[in-house]
Amino acid sequence: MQPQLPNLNRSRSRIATSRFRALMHYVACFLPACLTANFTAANSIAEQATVKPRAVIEETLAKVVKIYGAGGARGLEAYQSGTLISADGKILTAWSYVLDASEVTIVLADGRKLPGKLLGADPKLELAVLKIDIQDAPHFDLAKAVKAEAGTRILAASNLYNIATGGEAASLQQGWVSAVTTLAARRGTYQTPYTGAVYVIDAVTNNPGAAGGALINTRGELLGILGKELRNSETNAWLNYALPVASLSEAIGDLVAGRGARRRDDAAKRPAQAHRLSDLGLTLVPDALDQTPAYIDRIHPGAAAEKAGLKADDLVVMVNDHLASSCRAVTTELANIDRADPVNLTVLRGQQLVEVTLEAPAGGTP
Amino acid sequence: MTTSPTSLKPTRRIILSASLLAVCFLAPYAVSSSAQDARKSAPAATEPAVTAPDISELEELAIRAAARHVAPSVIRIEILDATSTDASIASSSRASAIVIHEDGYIVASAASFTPNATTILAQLPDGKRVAAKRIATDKTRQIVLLKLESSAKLAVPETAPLAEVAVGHWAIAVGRMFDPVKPTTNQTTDSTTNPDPEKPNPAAEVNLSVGVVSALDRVWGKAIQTDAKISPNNYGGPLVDIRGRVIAIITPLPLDGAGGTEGGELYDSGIGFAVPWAHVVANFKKLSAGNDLKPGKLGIRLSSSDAHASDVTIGAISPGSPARSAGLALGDRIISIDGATITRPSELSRLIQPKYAGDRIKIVVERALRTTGGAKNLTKSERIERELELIAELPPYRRALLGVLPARDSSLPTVRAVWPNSPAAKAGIQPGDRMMKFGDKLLLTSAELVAQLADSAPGDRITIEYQRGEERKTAEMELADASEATSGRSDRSLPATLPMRDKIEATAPGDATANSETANPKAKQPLGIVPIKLPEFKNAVSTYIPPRFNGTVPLGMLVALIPQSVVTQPAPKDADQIAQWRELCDRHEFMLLIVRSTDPTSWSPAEADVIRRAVESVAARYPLDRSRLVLHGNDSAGTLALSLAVTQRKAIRGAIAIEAALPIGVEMPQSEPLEPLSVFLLRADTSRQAKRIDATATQLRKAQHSVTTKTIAATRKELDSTDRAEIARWIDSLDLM
Repeated sequence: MQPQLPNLNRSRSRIATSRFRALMHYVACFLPACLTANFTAANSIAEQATVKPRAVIEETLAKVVKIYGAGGARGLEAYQSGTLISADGKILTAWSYVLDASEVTIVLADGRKLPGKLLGADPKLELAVLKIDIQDAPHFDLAKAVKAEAGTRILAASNLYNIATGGEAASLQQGWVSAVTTLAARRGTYQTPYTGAVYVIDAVTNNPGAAGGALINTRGELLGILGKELRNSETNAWLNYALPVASLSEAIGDLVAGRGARRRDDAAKRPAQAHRLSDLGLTLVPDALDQTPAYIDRIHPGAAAEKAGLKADDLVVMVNDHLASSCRAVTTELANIDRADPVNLTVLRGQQLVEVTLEAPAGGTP
Repeated sequence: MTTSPTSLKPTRRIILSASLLAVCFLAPYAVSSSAQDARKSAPAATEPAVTAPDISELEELAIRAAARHVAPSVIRIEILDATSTDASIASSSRASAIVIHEDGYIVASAASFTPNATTILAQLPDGKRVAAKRIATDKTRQIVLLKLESSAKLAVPETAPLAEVAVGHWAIAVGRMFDPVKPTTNQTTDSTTNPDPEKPNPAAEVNLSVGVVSALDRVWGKAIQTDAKISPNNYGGPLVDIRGRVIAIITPLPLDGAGGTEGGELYDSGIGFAVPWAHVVANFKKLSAGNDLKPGKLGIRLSSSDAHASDVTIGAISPGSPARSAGLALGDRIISIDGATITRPSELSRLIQPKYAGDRIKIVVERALRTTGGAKNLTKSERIERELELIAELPPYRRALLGVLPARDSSLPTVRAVWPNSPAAKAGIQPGDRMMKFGDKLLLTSAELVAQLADSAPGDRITIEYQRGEERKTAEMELADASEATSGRSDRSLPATLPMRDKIEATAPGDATANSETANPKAKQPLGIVPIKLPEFKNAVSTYIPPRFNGTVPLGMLVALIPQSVVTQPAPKDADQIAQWRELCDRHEFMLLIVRSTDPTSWSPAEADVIRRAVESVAARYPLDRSRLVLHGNDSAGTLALSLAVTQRKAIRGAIAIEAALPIGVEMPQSEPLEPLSVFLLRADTSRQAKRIDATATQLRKAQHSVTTKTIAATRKELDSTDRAEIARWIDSLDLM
């Protein structure tokens, strides 16, 4: 149940410092300063251009709350952010160890401090819904949440680094949606149980305490909920991302209704009966080194590999949609595919990429 | 909007907003048209339904349109590297690339490639994967040209003419790193809250980061700087203008221009580099012919090391260099290169750094002439113009060796010990002798002797004047080759004993004064085992400072990188480490600094910064003799120690690596006059890596570095006291001159 904790290592801290600096630049205003250039019409235009965002920002900040809970004793941040989603005080936030406390305290933008109750949590979605006792709370209407695409201008409101305390409003950051992607597609690259769609954000939003904050567009429409700190294990780059609310409305609806985590298909779970190379009818070269390129050594007569036209000396580079750079990686990837399902192999033959489908071996599922 | 003081109707406001944008940010032609194009093609979901878009929405539309415009030319590449034995390097990775020619040619950043990538795959905009082959690399600008095994015609992007790129313009960094969300059966990814936008267009599924052009002509004229977030998420992708035209290709570049791609340290700092697309396009022909482009070398060192000094006289000329062949001489003052006047060293770098080997340059120097005859001290000078061709590789610098170890308790060039079989030994120099003159140059300090040797070559015959007791003596000797004299098996190349400091103190004059200097505040620092706190890092760091340390004699430093996962398992405790080394530290005057990785089993290259910070934090409290600063580690830690010693030539003197070889692809630095590199390689007699370790030794020797080797019986699980004693003597002799 305990989600992966942020791994605060060296580069993390260094980047945190620079993130903090960057934040200080962003907090105040989101329109490029050069709009106020020495252009006579500029002032009036700039004024026009800022009218809507200003109202949008004030309304948004009123809907973002500060959450205090567990964690302090272990030297972890004991705070995060949350987003009000109903007039009667339901709060959507990220599921984390902060909520793993007997008592969670919610501090509203106006400084009111209320105890929060956990309505439901979905550790796989990394989302949770809290409830406070309040009426007529400013809130986002989940039904009106919209989708974003790469290039959508965004504002993010959260209590990153717990800078806002008491009656201070959350901090605002500006940026863009960098990409819309799924974290699942690259197994093992991101250490998170969440495997669905995310908005990758072109701004350093995912800092300690920011998880659960609101991502909106410049019209003030809710786009997403800020995720936790997450690092790409391939590139070491930190990923700033938000969960798309409009795409998760059903699951969130369940949480709000107190139905808790729905059991969903667990794509990452390994099948009980997985594929094996021998069953598919091929042998790779001996795995002598730490990492041996996955060249096919032999094709067994009559089996799926031969039927699919694979040849000795083909270099296996992909198993289904996953790159496999070595014998070991091929074996690992196969272990993730149920024996009842066909396997797609992409091989490099000379300089040509050849894609084949190996049918499940007859009687492969006992 | 109704509060607007202007009386413009909404429709006119759009146009005014757009043209205002154009004036404020962009080349005047850019936005009004592209923003409106963008609105036409923007998905219905985000298209404002009734109200007119405001200025920020127009920007948003223009930026999305720009990314879409270039998207068909942005290719995802996947690099598979099965031979990587370094667990910290991902064995498969992806990066972006840009189409440069429709016949299957794409370019990417050299930073995206692991040194021995076995397979490169490229994903065409329609999602199809094809194999790609590396054709050639531009090593000056870190660009790789690839050819796809596909006959499909590729979309060549539009180029933004460099003349039209200005600081402050929008710069959008585009990559193709993320998988688009597939409209699958998974219901959670598809919502009913919105009418479905137009069908996802694979050609448009790129990731972007928005910024401006921060500067032109950065990194010695090789790059454009931007504040768009440059990271592995867009290496190899284009930096485009607001019209989607390619300004430059994104790649990390090192600031000092030393080659390599270790410019990644600027990640997330608001500083990113990209090589102007026009430069890449201009080199396409050469690269497509399969020729690597290498930095062009002239082969001179200026006498001033300050880049901004007003002194551009030649201080050293490498043998076999174009400068030597062209007849340039020590003391020549550089006037101009290719007609551009040079007044400072930085201007020379600025002109030479972007050049390739094979490029021809015109150089004008001024040479002082001695007037013969006449009492008047008139100095005349002549101007000499030469045309020369820059070359890729200078012959490696060979270090000259005299064979003396200097006393450390004073700056006087007094001999602490004499290296066996060295020129000094053959000439009868003895410990305690004080060097007075090198040729006709007076020697006041050890540093002056180092400088004189740096300016000499092995084989040079020189006369040394020295003082022994009250007696002045001279000796003639032929300088040896330092790499040759110090390399070899540890039991043969290392002297069996080195004089301990106590012995020297007893005999050498001048010690009394050194010891009486108690005013040094650094002497008051705690000695013995001292924990080091690095507030920003999680790594555990501790140090052992020899208790006899009095703050006047700088100490060497052995930086032990833990874990040592194979030879000693599990990783030894700090206390055990210190117990093993402390006596040697005391006797051979070096500190021990233990740094642990955050990961319990391996070091990641990113942790180099921790090591640097740990060393600096100790050096801030205890005088450190950087000529004896070495890294030490086993396996992955040994690889890191070697890589750092080899790449950080100005900071680290050497490395002791156990069961570790230099990663393939790390560029071997040429030997440089004042930056000696010494490496001690230990391996088991049955080592699986024997070949690679021996190859590393050969490679280092070829580049004229000093390599000491030792083979240990595999039955022995860890270093024994003899090994450690040899390592300590090796460290103690690193200031050999």
